[in-house]
Amino acid sequence: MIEKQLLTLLQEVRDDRDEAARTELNELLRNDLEARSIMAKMLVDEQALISHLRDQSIVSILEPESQGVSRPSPSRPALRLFAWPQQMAAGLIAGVLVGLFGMGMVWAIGLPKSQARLVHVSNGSFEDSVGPIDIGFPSNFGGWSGDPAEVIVESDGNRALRFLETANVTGNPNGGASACNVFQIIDLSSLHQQWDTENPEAQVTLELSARFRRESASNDAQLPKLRGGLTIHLYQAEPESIGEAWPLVIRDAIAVGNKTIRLEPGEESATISASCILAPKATIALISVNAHTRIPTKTPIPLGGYFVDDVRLTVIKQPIFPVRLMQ
Amino acid sequence: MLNPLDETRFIEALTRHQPALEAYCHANLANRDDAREVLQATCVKLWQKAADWDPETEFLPWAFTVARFTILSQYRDQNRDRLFFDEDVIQALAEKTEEVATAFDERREALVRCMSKLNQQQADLLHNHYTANQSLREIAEASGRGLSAVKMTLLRIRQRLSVCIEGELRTMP
Repeated sequence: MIEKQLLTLLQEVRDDRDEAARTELNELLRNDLEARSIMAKMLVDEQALISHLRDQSIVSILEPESQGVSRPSPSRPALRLFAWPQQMAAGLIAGVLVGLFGMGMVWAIGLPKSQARLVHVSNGSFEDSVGPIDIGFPSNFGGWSGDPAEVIVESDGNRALRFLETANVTGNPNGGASACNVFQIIDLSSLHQQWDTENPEAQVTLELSARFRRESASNDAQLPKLRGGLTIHLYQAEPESIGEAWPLVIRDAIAVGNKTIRLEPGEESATISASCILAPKATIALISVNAHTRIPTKTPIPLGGYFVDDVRLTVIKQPIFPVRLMQ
Repeated sequence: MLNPLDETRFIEALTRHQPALEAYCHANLANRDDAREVLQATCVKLWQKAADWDPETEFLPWAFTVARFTILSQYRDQNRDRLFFDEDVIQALAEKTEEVATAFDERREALVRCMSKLNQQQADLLHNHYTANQSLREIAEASGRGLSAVKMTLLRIRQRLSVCIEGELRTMP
């Protein structure tokens, strides 16, 4: 009984900033030992809840299909370069660098060493085929596959990819199914020599971009947090080893970039991009486009109203900006 | 100044007990943003006072004391109006809060087991409120349900979790 009263008062203070409720709550705690005991447990358990949900949320963002998946096969491991703290530190440094270069674009445009060129993405415009894409994780270069999605022809003749429903790309029925992911593996081996990625005076980055669009769908009300997104992971590995160890292999990525967008049904389409530094050791890029419900579930959720088009991967070489500026 | 061995023990203790320390801050402030802010300030103070800690003694009671003084000093003059609890209530809660927060790891483990017994709708409500930071009013509007119904649902889930956690703790080895 006291517990209900305490919870109710706490909610009123939190949600409504109700001063009378705050006074009553304090009086109760001041005068009642049992109320203090219950409140202490209630708030410590609430922190346990927040902490648990926070961990779950991080896992669902980083590894949407992580639950119940076996560990990487020891015979074909993808190379792990960094432990978690190092990855975080490297990520922060990379983020700062990317941010610096983002700012540096204005200054660097006129410099002769700034170059950009498209990297071939197979059927990046989705104009080469119509109908469902292959289900499951790709094991080779040169094609889209993943969760249920199809290439459709729009009224103006343009073709685009439609996300059909969320799923677990590994086929694990106990795995998470909160997103519809479509993947492609890109061979980077020829880029390094061509772009001299080991040159310390230049920075080579990969930028993945795509245009997202959302139409009204019958279950829009159930998907208030639906977002479109794209990610790019770089690995030093054979292409087939990624799918074998997915999604745990995510933590072995040499570099990662991602970006999401929230569109309302009927809103104008928007292009987003994600970047990461092209590490000299990276041999493949795993790119993915997705529609993510942000709903923790193992049951597929129909989508139908989310589209993506014009997936492009660009390699950009820029001088190390701060050094150039100082000179 | 700590010697290298004690410094290592200090870092280990601070790292291991930080979740319990955050729970202690949350239990005194009932607000996760304030709790994180105070946790950061407390960690800085603990670093500054590291030489005062005797590695042969328990870390948490000392850390809780530093945290309580941080809470009181930080909010006594600056943000009194943001406090959920009056100063004397925080002092009165201290003993019980320390006792419960010390068992944070066990309580969290029990909670995780209890969470697995919730249905999807209940889990979604908790996620929306505690992770996505949606107010109950926003959740009610998004779901087309009444505010009082959402409040009551959350209340029942919290009560159910409380009962379940206590039950799990009784059966834990």
